[in-house]
Amino acid sequence: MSEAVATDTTTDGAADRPTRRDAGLSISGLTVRYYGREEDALRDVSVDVPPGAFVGVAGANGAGKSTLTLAAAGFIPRIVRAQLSGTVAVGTGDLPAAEAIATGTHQVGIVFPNPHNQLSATKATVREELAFGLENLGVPRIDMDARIDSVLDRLRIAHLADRSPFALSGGEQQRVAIASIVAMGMAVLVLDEPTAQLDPLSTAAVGDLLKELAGEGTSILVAEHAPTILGAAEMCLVLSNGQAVTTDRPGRALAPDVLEPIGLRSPAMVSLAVAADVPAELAFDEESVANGLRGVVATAPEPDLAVTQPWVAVRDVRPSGITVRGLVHRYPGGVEALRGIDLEIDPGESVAIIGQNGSGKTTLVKHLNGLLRPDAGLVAIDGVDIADRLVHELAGTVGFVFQNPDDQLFNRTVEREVRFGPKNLRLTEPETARLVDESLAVIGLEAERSSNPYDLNVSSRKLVALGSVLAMDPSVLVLDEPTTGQDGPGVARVGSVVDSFKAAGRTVIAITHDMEFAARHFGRIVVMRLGEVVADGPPADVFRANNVELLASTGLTPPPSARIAARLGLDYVPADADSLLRFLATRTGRTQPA
Amino acid sequence: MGFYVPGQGWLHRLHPWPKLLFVILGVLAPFLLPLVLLPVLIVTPIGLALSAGLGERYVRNVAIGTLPICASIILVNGFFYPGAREVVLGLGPFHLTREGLAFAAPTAARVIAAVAATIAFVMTTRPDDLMEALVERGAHPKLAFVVLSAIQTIPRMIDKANRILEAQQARGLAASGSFGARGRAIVPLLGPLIIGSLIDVRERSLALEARAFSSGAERTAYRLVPVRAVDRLATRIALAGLLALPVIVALRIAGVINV
Repeated sequence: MSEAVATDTTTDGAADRPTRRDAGLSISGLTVRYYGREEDALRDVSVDVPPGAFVGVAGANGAGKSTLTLAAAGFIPRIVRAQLSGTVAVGTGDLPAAEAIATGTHQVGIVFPNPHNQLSATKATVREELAFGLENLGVPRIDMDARIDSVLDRLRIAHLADRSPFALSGGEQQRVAIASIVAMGMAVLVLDEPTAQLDPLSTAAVGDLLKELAGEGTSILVAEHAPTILGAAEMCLVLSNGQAVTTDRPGRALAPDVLEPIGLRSPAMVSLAVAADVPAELAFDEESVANGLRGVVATAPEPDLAVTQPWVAVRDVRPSGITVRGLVHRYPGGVEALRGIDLEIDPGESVAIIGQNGSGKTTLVKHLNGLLRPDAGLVAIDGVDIADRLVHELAGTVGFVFQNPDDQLFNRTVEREVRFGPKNLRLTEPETARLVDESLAVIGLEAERSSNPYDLNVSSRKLVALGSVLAMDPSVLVLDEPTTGQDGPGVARVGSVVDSFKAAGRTVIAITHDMEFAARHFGRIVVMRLGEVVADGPPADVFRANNVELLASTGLTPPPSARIAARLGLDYVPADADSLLRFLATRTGRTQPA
Repeated sequence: MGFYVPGQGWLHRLHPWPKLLFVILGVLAPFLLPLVLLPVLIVTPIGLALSAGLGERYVRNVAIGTLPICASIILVNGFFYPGAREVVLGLGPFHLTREGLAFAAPTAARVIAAVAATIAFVMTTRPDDLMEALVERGAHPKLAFVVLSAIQTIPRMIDKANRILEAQQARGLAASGSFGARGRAIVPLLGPLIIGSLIDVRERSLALEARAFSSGAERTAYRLVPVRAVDRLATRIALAGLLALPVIVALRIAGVINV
């Protein structure tokens, strides 16, 4: 459908709802406590999202972000039972959102983090999936296609329109989930971590879309970890332990002096902006930050002196190398997911695999432990073809951590869960006990040893799943999107696991959409596009300025600090803000000793 | 979705409503009409299906759908028909009887006729189109949704079970091989399936709410299932057939028709 049609619909849609301009979301003095809990999930939180406002919500996992989104959409207390005080008002009247939904005056759209469960599961194509919400709202058939096409276009998923929603990758499903709510054209849009599984450019596209929607008068409240989304917001509410820490422009709300005291890391752009003394409203503007950094950098941050504790081998595990040669994989229906991959991974190497949603990353790594078998080509570990080795036989050599922990956790306690792997490998009790202790220490969940995994939040459950694989003491560790849904400390924890495995000479392979995580913790980056490897090398080569177009062709951008370095014309590709600031300080000869 | 196989044949194009009426006819007729018509009632659905481009896969589905039932009907009745005397074949203490076979054979044939019609229907009808057609004729949209998601539940569960199997095998679980190994694999496979399904139900109910499922608004439909002249004609023929059935049954009971 043409863009002209798309624009027309939007205007028509707004005209259909005369109340829209007066709508908006206003939360004041909101306190929420779930039944059976002794602490408030939210305490006295107020936030105002008038029509056209775009407010981000930042905070560690468990800080109350999801609770706030559920309350904002009226789901608490109507569907999710909890004690609630304070007010959540939508629209001009003081009609609480809960009542608005109950009485059928739907004005709030909400997007949840898990895309898979947001599909209606009754529709055969993405287009029909998007129509589902419109059908329920009673939108006339004649208006549906234009609205659907416009949203598909704006989320860059027009090419998925006639595919089955179930056959899509996680990131593609996530965009369908966002599209299906945006298409409903609600006056207030609430999103809970809508971009966790998206590649960097798709995340940026969602940020742009939210900005546009705000420009058209929609009120937007989005809980996120992604700096791209928070930075696109006008204002940012920072939550810690259920309480509001500050509400300010993202450039100030996300500054190190606000986030560090509550245990969070400041996004690279904000750290650099603060160091460059750039005004808060320009903190996410690369040009301004780069210009600011052209001046003298007075101080360099102290280098991180923490020494990585190498993983202590319990068994006699030799580092393993992996050979992938001419690997082709076809999905039923004939789609070539992998089109002849050649990779040589040396023992002890650390490799991050990056690329746009649906580029074949997961398909590739599933061949490394026999979960998928090649249609052509071979996969060998230490030179031995694994074609006839069973998955569970390879488990002791290749540890594979899946993206969704809920597909594997079943034990009553965290400790029993972590024991599951070593038990399957029939390790001796002393070996098992030591491995379990070491795993729990590395994932930082020693205190939760006897907790039920399902009483922990999803990011801790992800760490439990990771720990249960670490406890098998594998010589190759494969991680599928280990940082998805993790907050700053969670990402740092996964990073330290990678570092300690590397330090023990083990091979680590991870799929990630977090470019900074890839650049900081991995020695080699493999870039995939449409089932092929299009770039392969150390982060400093792959994230060079002259690769920007190639990276963009598969949904990627270099990490923010590398982009700034490129703007400064530096022949240096930093992984994070601190490295860039130290480099600049050294260059100006003003390094201060740590 | 379900057993539906995409295609362009005339059965695919026929509107779901007359198709549903015909399949009801095709299921009831073999059990209500005289035995002499059974061959026609078996050949007709199979012939129609083949003429609509349903090939090998249709035949295989009919075979899979009928063999176990027919085999058990023939074995149970053939060997254990009450009061049967005329033994055709003796296998130790078991006797295959003529009376048993005489009862079993038509029953099995009726099952084959009914299954052949049903499978032709489900392979050529998109469940969502069928539901849309039913909603247009007064069924409640929520009921239609429940039926559709129930149809999807099985593939979703299989999908989930596969992911769990992969994740546990990757943690060294031997899920195949000896009886002992299979037994030990039950809890690690079923545990996450049950817990995960509960989480899914919760998340899905929230997501449905977010899609205004209970908005109370007058629902509209996106998919259009056109009703052509031929569909209207087909509906009339099917209705006539369905009305004729009780008449024929009544006439047989009254002894007017004697076959």
